[in-house]
Amino acid sequence: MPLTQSAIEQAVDWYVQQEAQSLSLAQKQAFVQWLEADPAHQKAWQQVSHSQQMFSNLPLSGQQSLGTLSKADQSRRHILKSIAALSISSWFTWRYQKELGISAKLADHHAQVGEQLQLTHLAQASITLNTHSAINLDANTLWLKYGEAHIVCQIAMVISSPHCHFNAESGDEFILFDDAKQVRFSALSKRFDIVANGQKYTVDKNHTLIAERSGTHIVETPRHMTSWTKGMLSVSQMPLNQFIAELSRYLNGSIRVAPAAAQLHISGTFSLADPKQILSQILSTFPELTLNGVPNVWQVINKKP
Amino acid sequence: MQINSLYQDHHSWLRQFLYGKLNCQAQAADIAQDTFLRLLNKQAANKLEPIHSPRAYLTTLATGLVNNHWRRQSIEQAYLETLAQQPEHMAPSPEAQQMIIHTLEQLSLVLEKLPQRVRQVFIMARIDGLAYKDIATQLGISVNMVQKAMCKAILACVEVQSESM
Repeated sequence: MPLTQSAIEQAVDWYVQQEAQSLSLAQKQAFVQWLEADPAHQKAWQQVSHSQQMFSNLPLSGQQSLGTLSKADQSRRHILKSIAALSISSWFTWRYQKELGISAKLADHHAQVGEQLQLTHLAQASITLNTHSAINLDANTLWLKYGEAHIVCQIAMVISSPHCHFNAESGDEFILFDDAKQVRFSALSKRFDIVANGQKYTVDKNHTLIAERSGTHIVETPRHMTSWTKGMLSVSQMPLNQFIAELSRYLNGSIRVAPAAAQLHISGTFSLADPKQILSQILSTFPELTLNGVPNVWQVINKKP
Repeated sequence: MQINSLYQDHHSWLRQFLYGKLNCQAQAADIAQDTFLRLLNKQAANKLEPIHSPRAYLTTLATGLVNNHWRRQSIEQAYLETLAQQPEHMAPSPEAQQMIIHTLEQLSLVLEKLPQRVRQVFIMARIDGLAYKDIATQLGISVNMVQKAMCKAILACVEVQSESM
């Protein structure tokens, strides 16, 4: 008999309760009763405790494990990039998700502030979500709810966000960013035709469309718009207020730059693994700057008089 | 039998498909075999649903296996690098190393399913072996929240392990 989900859930509940504190006599009896009530319960219990053994036996610390996994993730990211380029196969022109038909499932993914999320297991596309971003995905449509995503399509798809939409083919690579203040679209693999704010635009390869309230323009893609996919914030001669606007996307709370400090220029490559560190790096490079306010809530950078 | 005819009709196509992804004949052949092995296992466990569009089905299954392959390879390499930084006499036996790599692989699949906070709780409890109440104190949350996070994490473990069978 297949294990029902609820037997597993009950087993997990018991398992966690026993780990949290030692059971009272009455609880122990209740547990034994539950076990004996149904062979499916015993099987579920075995499966749950078995699923934990290998992890408790791992002779590494949490930090070592996470360190190893994140190193592995980084090298896999490079490999996956080259796979995506290889898998543009000419015979793969039919849209196989159509054959999959009704089983199209909606899926949601999101990255929290300061987090970047690799979605490499999806059939539709390999996707990296930047800080504070969310997508919704079904068989052949991707909806960027907010934030920023780097996407390499494996199939033909419809891409949309609150202010932008277009069609993408298998093998297409691009970055889309959409928030309340700005929409950006960077064409990475080829020339794209897109609709932004209800208007049609053609964006050449290695160019970025930037749509803001003040107007829409297309520029050669600045480095900092793509460097995040490698975990870096890479800028050259960027005004401080613009730099902090980028950086604050990775930090909780708001950071403002006072007009007196806004026109300092920043150049360099900073690791996004620790965005707070970038802020202190900037402050130590420019001793004339001060930082006031409440960390993680509201801060302001000013120039010493 | 369904799988026999699947194999005859689509095996060489699948190898071509995988070769396109991997650019290596030997690996493509291995993963094609693994794909059909998965199908046989599913059939043995009575979990094989009727397949209406074989190529789509095989593509999905094989792509998952290719991703697992890269995952394992990158984890193995990263682990060996970690190991190389430790004193030699501390190194586990080759069999133990394989177990550790396998466990890290499963761990990475589990963590992928979990939100950040739950990951943290799970690592502290299961890998670092901290008591729930100590985790609660360290993270400034209630024991009840630790319990809820652990329920989520353990469910994800069970899911990952039944998927990889």
